[in-house]
Amino acid sequence: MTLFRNYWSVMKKHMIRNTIFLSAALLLLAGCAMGPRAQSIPGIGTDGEAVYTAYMQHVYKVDPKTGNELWRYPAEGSVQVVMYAPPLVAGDFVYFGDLAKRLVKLDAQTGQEIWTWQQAKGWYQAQVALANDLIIAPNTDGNVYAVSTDGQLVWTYRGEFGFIAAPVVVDDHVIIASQDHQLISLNLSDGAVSWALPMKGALVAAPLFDSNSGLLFAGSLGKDFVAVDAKTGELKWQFTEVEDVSSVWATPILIQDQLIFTDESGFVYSVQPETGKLNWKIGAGGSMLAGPLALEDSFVLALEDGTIKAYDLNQSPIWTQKVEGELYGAPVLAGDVIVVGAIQQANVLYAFDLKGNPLWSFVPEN
Amino acid sequence: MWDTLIIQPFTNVLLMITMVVKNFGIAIILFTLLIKLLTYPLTAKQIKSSTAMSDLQNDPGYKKMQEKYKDDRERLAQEQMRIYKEKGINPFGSCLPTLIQFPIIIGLYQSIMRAMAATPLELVKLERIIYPFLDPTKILPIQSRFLWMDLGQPERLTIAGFGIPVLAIVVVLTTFLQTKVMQPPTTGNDQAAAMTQSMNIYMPLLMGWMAYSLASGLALYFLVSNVATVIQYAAMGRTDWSRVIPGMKPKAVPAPKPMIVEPAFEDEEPEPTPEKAAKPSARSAVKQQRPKMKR
Repeated sequence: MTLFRNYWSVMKKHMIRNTIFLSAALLLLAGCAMGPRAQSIPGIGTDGEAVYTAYMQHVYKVDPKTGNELWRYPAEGSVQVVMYAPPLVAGDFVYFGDLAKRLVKLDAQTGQEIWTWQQAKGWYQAQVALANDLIIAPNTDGNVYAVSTDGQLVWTYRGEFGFIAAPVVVDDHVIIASQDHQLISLNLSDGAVSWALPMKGALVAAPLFDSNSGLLFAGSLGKDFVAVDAKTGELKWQFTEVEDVSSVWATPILIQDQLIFTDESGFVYSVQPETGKLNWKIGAGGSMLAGPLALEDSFVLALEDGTIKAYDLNQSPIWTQKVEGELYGAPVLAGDVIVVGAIQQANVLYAFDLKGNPLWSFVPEN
Repeated sequence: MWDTLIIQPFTNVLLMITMVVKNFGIAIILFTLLIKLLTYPLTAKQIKSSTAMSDLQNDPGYKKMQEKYKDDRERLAQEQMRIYKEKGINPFGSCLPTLIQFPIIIGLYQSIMRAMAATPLELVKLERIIYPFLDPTKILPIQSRFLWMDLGQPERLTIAGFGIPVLAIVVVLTTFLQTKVMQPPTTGNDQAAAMTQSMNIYMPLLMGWMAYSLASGLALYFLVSNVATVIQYAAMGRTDWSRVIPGMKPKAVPAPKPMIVEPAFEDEEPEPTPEKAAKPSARSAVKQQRPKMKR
């Protein structure tokens, strides 16, 4: 009996110590392990009257005139639910996906949740697209989901790799930029593939559609930049005039008759949209992953080091500003306010007027 | 420095293997086996060290010494260190290889997550750490699917609408198997038995929890690492399968040779002479309180 008591005493002593140690280890691991573990850039959407930004645990609605927060969703954040995909504002509603694998519909005025759809197996990184009553939502699980605006799954397109680029609606089709080196056109009614164009590298940005010419313009990490007939998928031209084009990470823009795209090494190219002939090329002075913002007769660039530059269409610099933090997302125009999202600093958003004067910066409370 | 010395090389090796085998899951398996192979000398040293410690713990002479100095911790520690030095035993030799594996585990986890690159920003960071002689366009993106798993997400096998963490369950079982078959024999040492029993319970649970919560790429690493470790130990003849296979005869372990032939009690005073007995020293007065050791 004494021996048993001694043995139990020894066991209990070690059990308590080990229990405490392992409980602490489990708690630490739980704190590290639970919830999505990912870093990304603020996703910004706008309807011209307000700015909606998805960053970390919330989607914020911000007044573009003052930078004041109008509402946030959800009211109480959770480490389990993180969001970066730019919200899409359509009418009175806001649509976005998050890293908790949810597709969410909110009331744009109040931020109240209307429904969530949770059948995806991966993360939503890209802004969704809306085609009539159909939300097209690419997911990193390799699927593109078409969900009705009342939250019902209509069809699913299954790809090989996760999708991180926003889809583009072209008439009764939706164009998907895929990481498996393809530009794909899907029929909106059933998700069937109409055509697929192979490119040299992964496509990580939405293509640009020009309704006048019926052409799509897209670049890839394989350093190619192409123009494609949106209806047939026929390659119209490939940009080859400059040999050392770097990876194309962003969506191009079209201003007047200039098609402008950027590459990772910080070069800006202006080409003729019908032929792909080079108009001019300039160096922005730093690495650039964000796409340009088109204004009426000028464009704005956001460099990785936090520099924001505006140029006219003759390549002349108009103004330059610098913000704290790194910029990876394209600037957005909300009315006449230019908004950029930064990371690595407390401020999430910076706003400027069209002349480059700083207006406000937004840092979420708590 | 951590990135340069650990993450970047690990990630690039993973990517290179992926380029060859065209499958990230298989790349993780092969990379794990490579790590186990490279750390095998440490593992062998660990086994040797822990065996020597275990033999020492069970040596009658050592036990006598422990009994003698059980009330004098300082002296006990001194004697222990002297014996370790004499026998060439490193008391930390059994845990140092394990400690070295921790940065490897952390590095491998971070490099798996880096290679998965689930967000555009992470894709940028991945592209930038790829060595110049590798072509990112041929590598990116990494196919995260392996069998039924998404290697960047916790694993669940959906059956009849239920997500079953198959990999986590297998990790628990293999960790339990590993601790059981590799468990050194303990003979009547209550402390060691209690410690071992605790580890047999908690380690599988801890590893299972990690496999359940973290990306399935890491869980795959745990599984392969467990199996590889058991194979390594089996190849060295250090496994006892009777602990997990019912009805199997226990492995015959030859009795270790005595390591301490005579307890080396250096400060033992000679028996006091009758003359000296008339003037007892303080030391002998203390000695009188201790049981005499028979020579």
